[in-house]
Amino acid sequence: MIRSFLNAFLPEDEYKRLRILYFMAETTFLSVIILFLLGFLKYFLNFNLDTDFILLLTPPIMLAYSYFRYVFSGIEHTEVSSKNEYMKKRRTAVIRSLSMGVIFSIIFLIVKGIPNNWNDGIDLIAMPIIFTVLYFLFEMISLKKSYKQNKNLTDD
Amino acid sequence: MVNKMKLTRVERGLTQAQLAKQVNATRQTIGLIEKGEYNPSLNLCIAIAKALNKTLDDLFWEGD
Repeated sequence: MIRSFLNAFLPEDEYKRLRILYFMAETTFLSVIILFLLGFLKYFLNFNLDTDFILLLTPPIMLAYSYFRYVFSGIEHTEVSSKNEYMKKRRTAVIRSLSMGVIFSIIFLIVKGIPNNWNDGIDLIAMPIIFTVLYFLFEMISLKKSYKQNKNLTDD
Repeated sequence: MVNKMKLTRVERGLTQAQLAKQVNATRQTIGLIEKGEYNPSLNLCIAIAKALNKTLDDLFWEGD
């Protein structure tokens, strides 16, 4: 095995490992291109770009790109290839999404504090709901993609 | 090459999941190798050959 600190974040299975490394490499490559372009626009063409904003925005975009590639690749649920396994995983996805929603609500409440006006109150209810729905949506996309891919591969 | 691996696995009465467990891979990876959609590393080829009690030539060499 190649020695790298990345090994701590990569799965054991070599196909999955390779795919994730590709996603990371794509992210890095695209980030370099985008940063070069923005640098060119700012320093050569004198565009008025907010450097702080770009610095702040780059890491979340990099993470989001890798995450979406992972979700849409269908490699998360490698063992789901039958309807039964799919249904079981779907139930797990519902429970996990709700749990994550509760955790998000608690963190949101700790960070924002107890709301003292109508708008903050709506935020406290709406944000966890949006988070839970999005979390569930991506869980389901990943599950469906994995199921579809595995169904074509299995012969058991 | 690919079908030889699948044939041997079926002859041995192993499911994809069982073989995957023996070689420390996932069922998806075994399925992809059998379909010819992924070229495994030499290490994984050796692990598969050992698990199926065959040589690398038997499983992965092209020919009759």
